Amino acid sequence: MKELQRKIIDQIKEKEIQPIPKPFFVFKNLTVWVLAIVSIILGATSSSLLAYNIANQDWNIYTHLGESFWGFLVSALPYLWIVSLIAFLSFAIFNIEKSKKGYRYSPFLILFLSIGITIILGAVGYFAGIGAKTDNFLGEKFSSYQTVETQKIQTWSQPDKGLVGGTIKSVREDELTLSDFTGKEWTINISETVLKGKIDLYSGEMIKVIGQSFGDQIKASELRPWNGNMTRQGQSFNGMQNGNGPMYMNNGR
Amino acid sequence: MLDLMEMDGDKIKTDGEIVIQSLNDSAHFSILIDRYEEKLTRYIRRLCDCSKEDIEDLLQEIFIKIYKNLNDFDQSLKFSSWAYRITHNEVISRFRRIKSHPQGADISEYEIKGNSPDTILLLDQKLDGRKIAEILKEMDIKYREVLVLRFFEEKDYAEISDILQKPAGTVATLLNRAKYQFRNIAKQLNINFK
Repeated sequence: MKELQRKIIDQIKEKEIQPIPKPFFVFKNLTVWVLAIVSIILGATSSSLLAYNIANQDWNIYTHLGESFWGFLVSALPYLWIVSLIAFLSFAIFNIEKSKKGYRYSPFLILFLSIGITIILGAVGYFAGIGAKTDNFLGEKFSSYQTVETQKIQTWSQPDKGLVGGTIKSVREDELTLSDFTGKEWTINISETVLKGKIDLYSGEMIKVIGQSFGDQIKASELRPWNGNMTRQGQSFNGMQNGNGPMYMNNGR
Repeated sequence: MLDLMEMDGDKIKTDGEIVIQSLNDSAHFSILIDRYEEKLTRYIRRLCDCSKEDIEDLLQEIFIKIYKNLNDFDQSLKFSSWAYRITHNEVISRFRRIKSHPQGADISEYEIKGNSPDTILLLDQKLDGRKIAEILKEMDIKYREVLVLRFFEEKDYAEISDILQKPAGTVATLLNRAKYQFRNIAKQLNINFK
C-alpha cells in the first residue's frame, strides 16, 4: 500500500469516519425539488394576483386624473406582485439549477420553462378565481394590505375629479340616485351618457360614473359596470324607457 | 493484497462496483485511492501553484470528502468525473479561503495529449511545456480549467460538463473563449505558433 493510501485509510479508521447515510442525500435532493415546486406554485399565485390586479384596473381613466399614460402606468402597476413573481421565479430557477442534474440544462431553458409554467399556472389560477380569493384572503388577514377592491373604491371615490362609484338607489327618467361608499347620495344626470360594457341600470346594481360634479349632482358622461375595466366602445344614451326591465343596455346584448 | 481485491475472477471491478464495496468495508476504498491518486495529483498541479505538501494535504482532504460522500455518487455518472468535480471544488474553495487565484504551475504537467482537431485548433503546432505554462498562468481560471480538462486531462464535453457542473453548451462556449484568450496571451507574450 502506498503512503497516501495508508494515511487516508488509517485516518478513516482512527477517526471512525463513516460515509454520510444515503437518506441524507435523498432528503437534500428532495428538499431542493420541493423548494423549486413550492416556489413555482407561489410564483404562479403571484402571477394570478398580478393578472387579477391588471384586469381590474381602469387603464383609460388617466385623463380624468390629469395624468399621462406613463405616469398612470407607473403609479398603478402592482409592484408587490411583480417583485414577488420575480423573487419566486428566481428562487425556483436557483433550486432547479442546484438539483443533482440541474446543471446539465441550459439556464435559458430552465428560465423559459419556469416562466412558461408559472404564467400558464397563473393564468389557470386567475380564471379559476384564485387571484381574487387570495387577494380577499390577504385583505382579511393583513390590515395593511390593500385589496384590489379597496384600491378600486379609492379610485372611484374622487368626485372632485369626476370619478364616483357606488350602488344605484333609484332610477328615474334621465337621472338616477347613487349611494357612494361613504353613504352619500348623488343625483346622476344621465341624459348625455355613454354606457360602456354590460350594464344594467337596476336599483341595487353597482356602477362607476365618470362626469362632472356640481354639489351633490353629477353630470355623467360615461357609466361603467362596477366589475371589469370596460375599455370597449359603448353606446350613446339618448333615449329612455320605463318599466321593470333593464332600462339601458349596450350593443350586442 | 489490495490489487487482488480488485479482481473478481478475471474481471477488473469497475469504480462503481468498488464504491459499493467501500460502503461496506473502508479497506476497499484504497483501490479507488490507488486508481486516482496520480491523476488527481496531476490535475491539482495543473490548476494551482501548490507545494508538494499542500498537494498531499489537499489530496487527503479530497479523498476523505469522496469517502464521506460515497452515498451521493450517482452510478449514472463516471466515477472519474465525480472525483474530478470534488477535486475541482476543493481546489477552488481552498483558494477562495485564502483569497487568492490559483496559478498554473508545474510546467512538466503541460504536455498536450491527443491529436484531436480541437488540439490542432488550439495549437497550430505543439508548444513546449514551459511556453504553455507561461500562457496558462496568465489566463482566467475559468478558461484555464476547461483547457486543462479538455487538452491535458483529455475529457470529453459531457465529462467536463459533469466536472464543472455546467451545461455542455456552456462548456463549448468556454472552450472557444479559452482558445481565443490563449492565442491573445500568446501574442502578447510574443510566443509564436509557427
